[in-house]
Amino acid sequence: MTPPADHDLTGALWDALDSGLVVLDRDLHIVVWNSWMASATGISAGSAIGQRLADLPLSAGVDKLLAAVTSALETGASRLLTHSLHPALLPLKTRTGRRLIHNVTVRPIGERPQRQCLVQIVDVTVSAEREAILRDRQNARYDAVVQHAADPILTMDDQGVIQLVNAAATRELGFTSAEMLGRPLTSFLADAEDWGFAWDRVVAGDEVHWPVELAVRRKDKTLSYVDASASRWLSEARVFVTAIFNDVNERRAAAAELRSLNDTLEERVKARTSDLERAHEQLRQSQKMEAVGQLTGGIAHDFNNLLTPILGGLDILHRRGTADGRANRLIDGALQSAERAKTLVQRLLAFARQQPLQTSAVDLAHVVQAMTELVGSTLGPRIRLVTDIEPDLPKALADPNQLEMALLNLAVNGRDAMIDGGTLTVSAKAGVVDANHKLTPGAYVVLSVSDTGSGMDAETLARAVEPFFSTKEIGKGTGLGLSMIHGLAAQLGGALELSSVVGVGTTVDMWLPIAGEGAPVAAALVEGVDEKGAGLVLLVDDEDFVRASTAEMLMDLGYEVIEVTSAKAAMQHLSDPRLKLVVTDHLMPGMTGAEFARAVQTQRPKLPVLVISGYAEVEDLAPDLPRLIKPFRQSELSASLAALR
Amino acid sequence: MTYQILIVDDSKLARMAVIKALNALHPDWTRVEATNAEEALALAKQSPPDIALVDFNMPGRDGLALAGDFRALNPDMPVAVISANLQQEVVAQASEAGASFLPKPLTQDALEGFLASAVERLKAAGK
Amino acid sequence: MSGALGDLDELELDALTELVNIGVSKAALSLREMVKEQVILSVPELRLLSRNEAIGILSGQEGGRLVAVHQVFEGDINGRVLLIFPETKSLELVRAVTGGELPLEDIIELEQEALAETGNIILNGCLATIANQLQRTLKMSLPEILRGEGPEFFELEPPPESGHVVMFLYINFAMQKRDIKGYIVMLMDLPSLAALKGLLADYIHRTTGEPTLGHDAAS
Repeated sequence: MTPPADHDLTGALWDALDSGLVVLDRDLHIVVWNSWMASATGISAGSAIGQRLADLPLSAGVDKLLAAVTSALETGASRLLTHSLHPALLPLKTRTGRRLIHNVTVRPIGERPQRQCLVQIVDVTVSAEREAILRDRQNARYDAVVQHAADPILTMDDQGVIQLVNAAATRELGFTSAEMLGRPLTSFLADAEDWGFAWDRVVAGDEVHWPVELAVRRKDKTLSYVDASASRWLSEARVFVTAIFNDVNERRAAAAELRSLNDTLEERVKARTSDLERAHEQLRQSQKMEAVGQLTGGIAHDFNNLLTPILGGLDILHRRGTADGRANRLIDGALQSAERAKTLVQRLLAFARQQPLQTSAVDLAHVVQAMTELVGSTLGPRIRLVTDIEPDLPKALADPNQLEMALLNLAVNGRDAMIDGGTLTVSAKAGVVDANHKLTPGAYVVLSVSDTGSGMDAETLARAVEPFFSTKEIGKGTGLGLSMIHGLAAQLGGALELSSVVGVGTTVDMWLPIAGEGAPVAAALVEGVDEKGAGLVLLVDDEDFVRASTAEMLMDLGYEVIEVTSAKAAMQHLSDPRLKLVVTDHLMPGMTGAEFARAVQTQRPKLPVLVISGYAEVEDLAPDLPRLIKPFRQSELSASLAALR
Repeated sequence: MTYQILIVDDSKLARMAVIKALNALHPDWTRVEATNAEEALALAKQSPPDIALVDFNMPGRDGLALAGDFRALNPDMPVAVISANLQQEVVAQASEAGASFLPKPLTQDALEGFLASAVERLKAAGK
Repeated sequence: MSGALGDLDELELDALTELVNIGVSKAALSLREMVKEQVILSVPELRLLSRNEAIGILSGQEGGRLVAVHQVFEGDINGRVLLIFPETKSLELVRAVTGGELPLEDIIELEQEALAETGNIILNGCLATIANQLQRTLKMSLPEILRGEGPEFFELEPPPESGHVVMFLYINFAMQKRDIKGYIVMLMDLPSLAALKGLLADYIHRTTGEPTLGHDAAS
């Protein structure tokens, strides 16, 4: 308690003070107004004392001050009013005329009920301005860098509570700053563990290996991946940590895609490899087949040559009928076998070659009949063959040889499907196609082969007509059959239909168009003629047995024969005026039969030439050259010669 | 006319203070005391009071909510919320709940004013 | 006066709690003027604890650093009063009181003063009400900001002697959609505590018209 002083000292003290001193009474009239206040407000004590504070020319902030004074007098409690929360309560100026920043305390004086209130005003301009400058500078720096940064920047206090977020942060995460401020950063992280470790270190001021990858949860619950780096800084002994988030979502997406590509890469490589292997295998197979084909062609040709004298000789013997009954039966049997052999070779050749279709009106009954004979032994004892040909079936427009081949193929497939035996049914009937079908609507004939074998499941059925698709092991079956038959049917203007039930059997239907009026009749089925001839024939063939057999036939027919072994030799005989005919083999060393035939036509245009050719080479001959396919029987030779005239 | 008045406050002192004032004004009226909102509601359902005085600042359900409950129970019952919390929001909330507002510490005069208007309302409602 | 020294009976505690609640309500009104939004302050619980118990609560509950607004009061009762809350919440309090839109740097700068002023309003609100209702005068010092852990707040230099009894109050602030929980701790010397008890008894008598338990009508 200060000792009572005389009025002069008290007054002197008040005016000497370097802070503002005002005393107000209950009615808010000014009782004391020191010099400091006078110079700070520009209002002298004389003008102030006795006035209501509210009546002085002061700023609006004075109302707040008065409210505080009133409250203080009521409650007896003192009150601090800071410039931070109450800027410019009073319009005060410093000695240099600048704004005077001040804090105010209000304190009721004396015993209760207090009648007077002391108001103290303290100059804090210097520190406030210093703070303000610093703050402005920092704010400007901050704004320039942080607010405009593309990356989210967040500041946390040392407890991890977010104190500051920049625009990029709110943008990236979808929250408003109000939603983020005051909340711990960890509440926005999908997995706080990695961060926790780094956090502890950065707060402690220890070194951290940045960046740390974080998964941040956005407002819409999606995750955003960022590389975070953070550093701590101090402000008034308080620790803060500022973190920058670098968006790595793109990088992650790319990495993820790469990973998944890598994962599937193995798969895809495996698939490709097996595809390649299969393709190679199939190529090898088809190359093998081609080689076989070529080989077959050569073998077939030789075979035909061998067969010709066999067939020819047997034929002659059969005709002469000189043998006894038993011998005749033997001859007949041998003849039939030779015929079959001839057919077999033809089919073999047809298989080995991809011949263009030669369509003609084909009697399906004949085709089935021919095939039946051929296939009978191939099927084996455990398989029963049934044929069912509709009577008065119209002729189909087809290539007879190819069709026979197809039928044979189907029969073999059927046989292979019936491992434990069964029934193979070959039928031919009429069929009608209406609209909504892949075929043109109209009448067709349907050639069917049915087996009672293992059948195919839906998947196999779907793939059955694929070239190279085979359920048999590689090496057994070419896989070409059904696809070729399918192709054949399509080329003919028909279609192939498969139906199958597992465990019951399979049926293959070949829909073939009906032959129109002008379709050529298959030449191969024309029967031979037994017409005798006369005159000199020049016979050219380098194969001795074939030539001999042909010569024999010719002589039997009544001709005289000059035999030569080459076209070159034959040329010397061309000028012989007695020559009635030339019969020449085609494939010969040196000049071929076709070339020789040309030469004959050139030199002696009126001299007929017949070219004998194997099945395989017959297409090499120009269409206008008369030809006979070997092996042949005498009747066929006779017919061909007759046709020459 | 004697009425039954319900006094709700978790502070025993506060209740005693109200009763003291009430003694001076209407010594014949019945008083019922409750220390929280739950108790108050239970009592009110059992034996409906004519007037209620409710402290604003109570643990659990506060006085404002309780005033709302009373209004739902009996719209004609005058209710006053007593509080030292003289903020405009609180006063407004009280009046939305259909209650009057009395400042703490409660003075006899303030109580007198409220009770007078309460009695008038009750008479008008035929009680 | 009877009962153990430093003991307040139930009714006296009740009375004190009431007084404090009235006090913080008045403080809330002042704060409302500042933030221009409803401010809810309440003191749900008041206890008398030993120093160690009080330190235990402060250390246990928050487990971290605390910030306190400290004032000394002098008069018929002397002591110190602290408004304490977790340091992590202080910036939030500053934001609430300054309106929330200021940049971080400003908030840091303002923190000291804003806390000081806010604490001042609240503590003075309490103390003034107590003083008024008890019909006494108290002189309060200007606020000072302290930072530290619980024990430090109980080892401050004189005046006054802290004694063994601590008046421990839980306080809830709700403003600007923020909920901040803190504590008010009042430290008094024993003579002050005894004086307080007597003053409370008088107050009760005045308010309720009844003599309190064990109160000697003559004193």
